[in-house]
Amino acid sequence: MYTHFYSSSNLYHASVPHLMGTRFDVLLFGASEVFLADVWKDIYETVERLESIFNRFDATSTVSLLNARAIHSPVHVDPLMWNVLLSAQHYNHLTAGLFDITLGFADSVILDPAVHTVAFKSKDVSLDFGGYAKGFALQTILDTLAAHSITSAFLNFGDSSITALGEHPLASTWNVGVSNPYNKEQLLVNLPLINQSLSVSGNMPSHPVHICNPLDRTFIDSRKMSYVVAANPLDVEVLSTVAMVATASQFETIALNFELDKYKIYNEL
Amino acid sequence: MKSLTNINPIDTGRRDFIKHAGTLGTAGVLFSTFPWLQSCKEEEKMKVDKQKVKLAIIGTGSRGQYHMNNLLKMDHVEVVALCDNYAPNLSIASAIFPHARTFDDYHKLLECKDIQAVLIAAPLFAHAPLTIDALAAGKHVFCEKSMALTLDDCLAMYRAYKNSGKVLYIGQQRLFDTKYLKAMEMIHKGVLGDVCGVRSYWFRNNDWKRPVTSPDLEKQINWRLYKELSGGLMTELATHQLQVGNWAMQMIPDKIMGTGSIVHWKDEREVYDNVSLIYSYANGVTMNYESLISNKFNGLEEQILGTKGTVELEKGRYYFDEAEPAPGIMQLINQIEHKVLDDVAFAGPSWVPETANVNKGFLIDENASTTSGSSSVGAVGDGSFELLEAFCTSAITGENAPNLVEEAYYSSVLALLGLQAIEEQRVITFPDAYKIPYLNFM
Repeated sequence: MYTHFYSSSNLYHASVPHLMGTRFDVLLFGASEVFLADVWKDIYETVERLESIFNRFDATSTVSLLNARAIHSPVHVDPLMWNVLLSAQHYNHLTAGLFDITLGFADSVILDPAVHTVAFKSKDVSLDFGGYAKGFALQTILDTLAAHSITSAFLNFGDSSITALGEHPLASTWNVGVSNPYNKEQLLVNLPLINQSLSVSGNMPSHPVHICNPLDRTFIDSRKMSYVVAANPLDVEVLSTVAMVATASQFETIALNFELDKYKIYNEL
Repeated sequence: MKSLTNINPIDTGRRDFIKHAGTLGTAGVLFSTFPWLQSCKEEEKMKVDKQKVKLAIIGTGSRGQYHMNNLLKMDHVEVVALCDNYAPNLSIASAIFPHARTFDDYHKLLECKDIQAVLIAAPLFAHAPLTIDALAAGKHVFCEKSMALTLDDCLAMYRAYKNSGKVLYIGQQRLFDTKYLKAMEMIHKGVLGDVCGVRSYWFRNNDWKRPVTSPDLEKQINWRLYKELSGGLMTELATHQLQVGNWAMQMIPDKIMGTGSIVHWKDEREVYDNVSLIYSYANGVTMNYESLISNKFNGLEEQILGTKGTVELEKGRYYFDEAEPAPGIMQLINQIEHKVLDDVAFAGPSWVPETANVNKGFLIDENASTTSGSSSVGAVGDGSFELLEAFCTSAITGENAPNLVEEAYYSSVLALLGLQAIEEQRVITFPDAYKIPYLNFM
């Protein structure tokens, strides 16, 4: 973990190379080094806790335990996981099934609201929060920042899930350029962010086909990239992936269910 | 015009040197942090508008010719005289500046009242007498590093400069190299943590000899190889790198130990082809220095080791130990730190962590040039142009480059103390007699 306080700007920078499956950078402003270090500690502990829930590659994570046991018998989950599962189900409905943590087996997941248990009806069910967890983490971090009265911050998971809280110290907006993954020199769009989140999904030269349509379980290679900007980091995280698999008209309809500020789908780059 | 084709002049972006260096800092911060850059200020350049300093060049060998080719591209200088006691070099120089008068005796050159400044690119042993005589003759002086062959001569040069009221520049070009300026700002801000070590080295694989047409010319041409004329690797190479270590530390070391030998080039040379030294600072940090000229695998480098990361100044890269902050984030931080607002393009589909255990680090300056260190003459884009251009401005305004001579003095003295430590096989404590007021020796 790297941390540094820039006293002339009252800027606290923290960077972790691997968290939620990617690199995580945080900029915090507007308080003393000691205070901001405490805020960062809270953020880090929060995200670490979320990683211990969502990480499919950790055999002891909540998701791994569910994937291993829920086929055999209903598994009780804590209130946080219960709410996450309900939220994921809600997004599944709002996106006409195109957001799906089960990759097409949503009907095989039984949630019992009386006792907060999860059971899988099919051995093919495996929960994957890949298109959800970073957005959820950003949403949770915003709560942490609010609890500490931090009004200016910049949060960045792997350059693809970004939240800009408040104003840039020198300007009203945080201007974030989106690069063409197939030609890094090319700036596709410059997005001024203020109290907004940006999520970018897409194929890359290194991973040309890796996003799956949960409805027909086909991998998407006809679309190159999408981005979504909105106030809610979880909405943009979910919808940038949905934008990769929905048809243009489908996505326009789905978008009406959310308060999106901006989005774009690139079929060619 | 052989030399013009041999030496690539710097021609790209040099006009924007300060603007470019200033991308990491506002101009005010830049000039207060690195005061020797004063002559690079726009207002200083305005002062010398349409003026030219009448400059003489003493020493027209390879390094002198390198400077000459840079001088051809400068506005505020007119080369009016050339001096060398080696006729073939003087002839080449004369072809570059055909209107310049030629001399084989520098005393006669110094008598010329119209000459305002001299550039000394003569062998090391001649630096002190040339500089002291030139200052006494009322000339502003640019002298190549190292300052001098002996501790007493270094001190004599420094005192002559302080008493003269004239401008003195010493050729420590890294002080004017953009990537060094940017890196030092990062280091001094603590971005890479506390400096906990310095490792510098310069490796080449050649005999360091130049062909001579007659045995009588051996010492005149290959002066670098003889102890009465040169300190060898320490004065010719280490000086640059010792200065960089002190610059990063903002301190002068007070203990020196080392060893040296002739391992491979067992010819008539007297200077070591292999040296290894430790310079110890008062806070316990050490600067390790190594140089040899029978293996070039490692090239040259100055590594500043911080508790959070490392800078490799010659490669122009920096590395973090535990994590690599996203480059886009570092751009954002730099802009906020220096009140520069610009678009930062970094967002895109998920960044995939590299699995290979290779830390490629980040470039200090996208536009910076780097060198293998194999050339004995000079490299393109290494600050030499800007250093000399600043001298020309100073020679017109009469305003010195604060701290530049002090930086050069200590690097030269430390090189010589290193040689003394090797020769006497003992740990040398920096002698009080050779301390001048600067940094921790204030």
